[in-house]
Amino acid sequence: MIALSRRFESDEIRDIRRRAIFEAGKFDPQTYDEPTLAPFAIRIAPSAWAELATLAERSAEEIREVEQALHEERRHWSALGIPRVVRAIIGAARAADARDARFCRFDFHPTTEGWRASEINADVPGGFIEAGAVTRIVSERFAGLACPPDPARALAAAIARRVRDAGIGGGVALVHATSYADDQQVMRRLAAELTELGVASHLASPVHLSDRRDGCVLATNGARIAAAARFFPGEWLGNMRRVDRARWARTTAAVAQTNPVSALLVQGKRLPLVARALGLRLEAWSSALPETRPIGLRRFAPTLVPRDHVLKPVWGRIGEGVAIEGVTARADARRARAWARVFPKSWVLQRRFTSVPVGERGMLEPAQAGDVVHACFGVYVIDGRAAGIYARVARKPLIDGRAQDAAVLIDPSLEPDLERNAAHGRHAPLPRMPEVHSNEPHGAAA
Amino acid sequence: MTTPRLQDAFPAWAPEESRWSAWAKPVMFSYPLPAQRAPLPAWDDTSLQAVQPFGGEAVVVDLPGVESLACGLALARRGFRPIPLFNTTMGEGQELIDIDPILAGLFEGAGVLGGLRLHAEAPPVFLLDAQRLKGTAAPTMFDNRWMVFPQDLPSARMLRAAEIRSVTLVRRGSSMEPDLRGVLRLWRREGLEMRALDVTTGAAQPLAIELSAMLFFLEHIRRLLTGLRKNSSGGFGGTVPVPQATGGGYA
Repeated sequence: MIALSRRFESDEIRDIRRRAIFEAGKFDPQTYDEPTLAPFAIRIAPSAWAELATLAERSAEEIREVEQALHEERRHWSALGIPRVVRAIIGAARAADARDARFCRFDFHPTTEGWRASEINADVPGGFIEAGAVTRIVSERFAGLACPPDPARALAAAIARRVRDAGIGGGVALVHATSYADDQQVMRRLAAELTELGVASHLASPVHLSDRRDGCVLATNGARIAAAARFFPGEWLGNMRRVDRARWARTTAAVAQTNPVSALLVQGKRLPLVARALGLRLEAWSSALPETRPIGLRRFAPTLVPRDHVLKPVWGRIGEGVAIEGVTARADARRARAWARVFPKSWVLQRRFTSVPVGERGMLEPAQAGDVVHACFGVYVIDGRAAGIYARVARKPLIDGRAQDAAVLIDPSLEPDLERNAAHGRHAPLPRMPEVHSNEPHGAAA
Repeated sequence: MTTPRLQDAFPAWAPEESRWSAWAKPVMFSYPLPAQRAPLPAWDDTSLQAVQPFGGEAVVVDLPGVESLACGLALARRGFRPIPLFNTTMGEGQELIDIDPILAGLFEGAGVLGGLRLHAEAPPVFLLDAQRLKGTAAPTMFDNRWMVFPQDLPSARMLRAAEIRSVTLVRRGSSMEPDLRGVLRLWRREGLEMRALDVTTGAAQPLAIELSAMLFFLEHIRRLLTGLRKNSSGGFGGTVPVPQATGGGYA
């Protein structure tokens, strides 16, 4: 169902790296002592991709309904762990509606119990370059394997549709933390895709959006704005001055958004707790997400984290702060437990799952030679449709800031029925599969 | 006649044969080459006499943009491998940090490096812009200040594997931004010796006190009380977020 590709030759690694930088626009090819791109791709059976896509689409539909319901339940926003200042921004902003293009990413792990999810990134998930342009570059080395959809293209198409539907003229403000090249690279990728679609876009920070009587404009260059694509985390909006926070809510009310700040209502890891308390149904998502528990009075217990659970910060990203016994460094785990005892509402306990490592010969074969890694698959859903996938891999069963990015390619030869039938000289029909893309290059980085 | 591209200068700054090339930041090489290009300032080599290549020493140059480049190229002539770590963004409207001179310098420097035959094992000199955190952005400006993080540089273990035992910080005067202090503290904690070279005097001295935990703490308190404020332009301010938090990964 899942297997690593062959390891790339050193000249292939150099070529992929160079093209990832200057064609795809990936400007963070190195972190600490390791390259950020894995020296192999991950092959996935069409049925596995279809299963993940369906699970992600169903989960996304539920999550959107829960977001709408939570938007009407302001008294529960505090229980989600959302800071007061940010709650005020969500309250002042308009509710999400059909004008907004929606995107999110669900993170799934192959485990001994099947697919298990670690989190949803409902606000500003990254990885668009790796899941799109980099995956296309890698796929050129594997004839017969298909590319999953490119989420950057899909998001650009969704935004372009909103801009045209609005009919007010103007371009797209690509809102991000302007000091961070790693964040800007995502916006530049989106800008390149929007350019391909004939839509103008402008790099901007949240305070650059200003409202005039005739609409929203950018303070930097006076460009008229019809849509705001935000890659600036919603919780960071709380760092702005009060006047800027108020202006953000005011100016974005008049334009299409992606994502509206109400996405934060479903981003935190306390979502299952609050949804349960309110009787909101999350059947598909709950089938993949391990049981989540509050810290509550366990903060006073001698053992804070039961052996079959992991400790997670409510607003943690890229594995930071996650404490897994036997995996997380002792000092880091001790620090996480100490903070959880002091601020129990900022942490949750989640039932632990057993990640199954993947090698060239597939899964559950611990004696394999060569690369064997733990993998997490990020599946994008844009406007309700599965729109891409890529993986992050690590030698240990914790995907954190030191994990590497790996392209995910669809390999029909991994289909279990196909393998069985091939052995018997028969042919089996492929399962229904979400859209796949050709590896034709398109829209180089701006 | 084809228009020169800065991208084509990248291989000169990050040649395949050098192990340190992996850390060269590529983002600046993705920007268009400015039409107006002033030459790099001349560099007086005598201020660098205290720095010797192949003496188990790496160098970090923390000087204003083009000076950092000029100093890096002077050290390249002495046998070091310059590695540019400029990680600045480019935006619309008026940018807080004018990067055009650095872009022009990178282009000019590629020509200089092409004429040098640096040893594949040449020790690294990491180039930073001392202006990277300077200034305040008005709401109409594009805040492209940036920081250096430990993950932007090789670990002490990696440096030691290349027989590097000490690091010299080349700067003007005695100032050091807190982001760089964090990187150097980590290296020092992992066993590398640290010293600073003031290019104004050419004198080198140990960095132990500047990197002490107490001074680090006091500096943080001072900034909290005097310097830090809420930043509303997507740049830096009271809370400096972790860049990787949004760039790519997930758990």
